[in-house]
Amino acid sequence: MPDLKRPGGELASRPLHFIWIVDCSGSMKGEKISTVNHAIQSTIPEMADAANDNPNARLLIRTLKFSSGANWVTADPVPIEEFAWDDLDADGPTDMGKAFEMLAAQLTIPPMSDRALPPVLVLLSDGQPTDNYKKNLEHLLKLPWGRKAVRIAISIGRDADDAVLEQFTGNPELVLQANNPQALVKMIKWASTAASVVPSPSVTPKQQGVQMAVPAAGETNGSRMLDTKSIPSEQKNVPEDVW
Amino acid sequence: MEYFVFGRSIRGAAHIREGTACQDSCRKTLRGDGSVILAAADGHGSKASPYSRTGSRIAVNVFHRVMGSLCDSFEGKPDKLFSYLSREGESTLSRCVETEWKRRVIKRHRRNKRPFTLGSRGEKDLGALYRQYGTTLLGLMVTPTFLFALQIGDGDICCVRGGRAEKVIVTEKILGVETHSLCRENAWEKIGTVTRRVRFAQPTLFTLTTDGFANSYGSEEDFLAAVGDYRRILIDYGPGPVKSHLPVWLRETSDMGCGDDITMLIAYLPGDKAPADGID
Repeated sequence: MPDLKRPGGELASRPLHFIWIVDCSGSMKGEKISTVNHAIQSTIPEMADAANDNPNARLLIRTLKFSSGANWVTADPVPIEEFAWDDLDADGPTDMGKAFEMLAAQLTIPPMSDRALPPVLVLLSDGQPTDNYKKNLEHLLKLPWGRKAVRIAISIGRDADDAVLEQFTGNPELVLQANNPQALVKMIKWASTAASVVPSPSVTPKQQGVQMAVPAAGETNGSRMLDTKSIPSEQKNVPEDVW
Repeated sequence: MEYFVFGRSIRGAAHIREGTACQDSCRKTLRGDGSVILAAADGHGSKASPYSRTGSRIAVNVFHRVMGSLCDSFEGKPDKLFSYLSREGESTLSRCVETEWKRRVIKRHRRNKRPFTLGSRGEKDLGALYRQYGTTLLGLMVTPTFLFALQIGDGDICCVRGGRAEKVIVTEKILGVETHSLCRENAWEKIGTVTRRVRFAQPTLFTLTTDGFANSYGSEEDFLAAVGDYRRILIDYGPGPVKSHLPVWLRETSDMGCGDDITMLIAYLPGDKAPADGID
């Protein structure tokens, strides 16, 4: 019996795009943006470990910052094993609509693949959009990958426009409240573990944090893959810690 | 007409890591009338579908039962069977597949004394019940003169002629990890069928693969090229070595690809002196 090589060409794992969308407007200056920087930096090792536990999904990270306009921090998605966080600064208005427009451009097919896993989008904001965001958000949510994406928002401080964030997530439970640094760190960490849930919706992830609640068959909103019961509860705050 | 029919389901790399069972099922039948029936199914394997492995097993058995009964009813009348399938494939037959699958799911649930989920008024929630067994289904019958293919959900039924692979059915593709399912209400509306006259080129390959196979390639083109390559290797080495290597190849595909369960069923016709030209 001859020893035959497998027919077919190169095999590929499925890409999983994880995108941080960060409000870098002037009101984020100081403790808020420094907490964001520190918290996201601290999630990288655990995200890398989770990715190692699932070699069949290729975790790719990107950051979109917005204040006056919006910019991708890296030109292309970066594999988690190569990803490093560059601290963001804060200044200017809150052009969230521009961020939605640029996000939509990357979620069309192509450049997204139709073989990818549902992308995870995490929007962090402490204020109200200062541009005309509605049209761009509607367009984003009409895209197939926009609809299917796991969409989480972290509302930083009491001045954030939760109504807009709820429109983004499509689920008020996935607008996570963070009114002090400790809560912000917890919420960012919880959001980061969504990357370990998406590749294996049939399996409960080993690490603490996000657990699976499987959507009904035919469910179209990717965010329903997350179990909101596992979201950390907001701490009771001392007055000086509240944003 | 000479057929070589074989296949294998393997547990996905991700399922091995996590200790969960393979959710795929497959079945093949060579009939005495020179036709072959193949079916593969992929259970959803989610927390809402804890019995989907059973559901996929029921699905392949239902397809075989329905097609076998039809062949018996139209024995000796292939043209009438062709006309019936062309006319009723996406209506009567699809409804029959859905109804029979659901009937067997309830029977199995009762036999195992599993509880029924109750709705708000205390009635049995059959939708929730069916979801527990949710599955896709791929079915193919090839006769000496025509083929009939049926599909609900993801996965692929392909034919290779002249070295080029093409899909026998092109179904709606849902992005991400969702799929259409036999468990849904009016699932028959999402069942696609194809009935087509055939003349076989030499040789011809049919494959049924669950979505773990295609998802292990970077693009549709790469996937179809891989299927075409299976035909090449069947021609070069014959079915015996391919059958014996198939488990290892599928294992490697899952390990280095998407990690999902993979089923591949093969019906290979090496051909004789029949005229060439492939599927009409």
